[in-house]
Amino acid sequence: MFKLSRKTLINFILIACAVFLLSNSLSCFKNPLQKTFKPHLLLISWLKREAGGIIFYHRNLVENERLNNETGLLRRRLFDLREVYLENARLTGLLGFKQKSGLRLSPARVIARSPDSWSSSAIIDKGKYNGIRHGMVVINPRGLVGRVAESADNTSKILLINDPSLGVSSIVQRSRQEGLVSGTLGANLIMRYLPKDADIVAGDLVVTSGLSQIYPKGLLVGKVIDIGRDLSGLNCYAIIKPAVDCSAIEEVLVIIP
Amino acid sequence: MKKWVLLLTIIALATLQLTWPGFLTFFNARPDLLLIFVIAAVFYLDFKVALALSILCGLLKDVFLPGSFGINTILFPAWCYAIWRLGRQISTEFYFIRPALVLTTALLNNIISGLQSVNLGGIIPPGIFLLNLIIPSVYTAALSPLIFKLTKKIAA
Repeated sequence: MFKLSRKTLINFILIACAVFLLSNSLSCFKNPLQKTFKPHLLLISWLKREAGGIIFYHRNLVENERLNNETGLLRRRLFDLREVYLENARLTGLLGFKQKSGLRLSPARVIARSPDSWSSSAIIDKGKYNGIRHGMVVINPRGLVGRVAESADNTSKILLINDPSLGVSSIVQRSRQEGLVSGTLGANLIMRYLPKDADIVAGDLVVTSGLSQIYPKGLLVGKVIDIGRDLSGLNCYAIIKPAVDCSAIEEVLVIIP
Repeated sequence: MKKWVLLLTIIALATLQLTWPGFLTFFNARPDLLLIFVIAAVFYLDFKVALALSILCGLLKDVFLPGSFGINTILFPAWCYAIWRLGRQISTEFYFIRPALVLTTALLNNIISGLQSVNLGGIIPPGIFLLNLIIPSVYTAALSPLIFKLTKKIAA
């Protein structure tokens, strides 16, 4: 059925070698191709945003009302927290602790998403020219979004928190129990390497531990929704609902160290 | 002229795939428009042109994926070659054969990409693995007649 002549075989081997070399030298195509795609990706994302605003007018109207109410409540809470912050600053000063420097943030817009289902990534409209480098942490006001995986001149690729190749050293805020949070490509994350008698319950908040030196300490990762024991019975794991909805992020903040 | 139209079509399809609207995704799945175009190119264009386009499509898809190894740059020409050989052995004229071929190719492509992801250390629960395997493949096959029509018009 698949009988090949000598010439076809040589051609086939040559093409296969060329394709293999091409797939290994992917990095040299990334920058120019991403640069070429940026203008129309920006245009499409702008059009999508505007069209979405018109199509979902009623939904946005209702959401706007809800958010206005929520803003009022949050303003009130912020005022209370400011009091607590000032008190904390005074006490910290009294104890002689060094004041932590605030985070330097660079806002960016998501212009494209992963073209397949086996990775969870997004492309943002800022790159090396804007000071974005590989490994920088990406957040939004709700919590941790992910990490910069690649940085081209004008764009950057970010691995989102629900990508299975991303691991974040985290702790349970209440009990300070450590574990490793990684993505599952689904809607939830998994926190692994927890001892079987770990002090963790559903509803606990999970934040970054700051142990890996990559993620600043205290960034909200998500909330525990379920706890289970792994097959060996030695460890348990926790299912975490991420604070950030990875399928709906539009704007992000990149932490510049 | 036709080459430029083909290149523009690839760029348009890649852009559409990258910016696929959220309300058209099912279980976070989006169709692989470039894969459909590669298969359509085998049916409606010269094999050598189709092979060159498949390499370009694979490269384009890999450029926007995280990771340094271009698996699609290898897989797309391989599917192109396999379908071309298969097209010489069996009749692909029945209306359901071509979407079925797209479904099979998308499933195989997804299995290999998924296994590569698992091999790189990612932990994907079996349920999500199956979901990621089946839904995008079916979605890709369901949209294939549209891209086939488009490719046929360009090739005519």
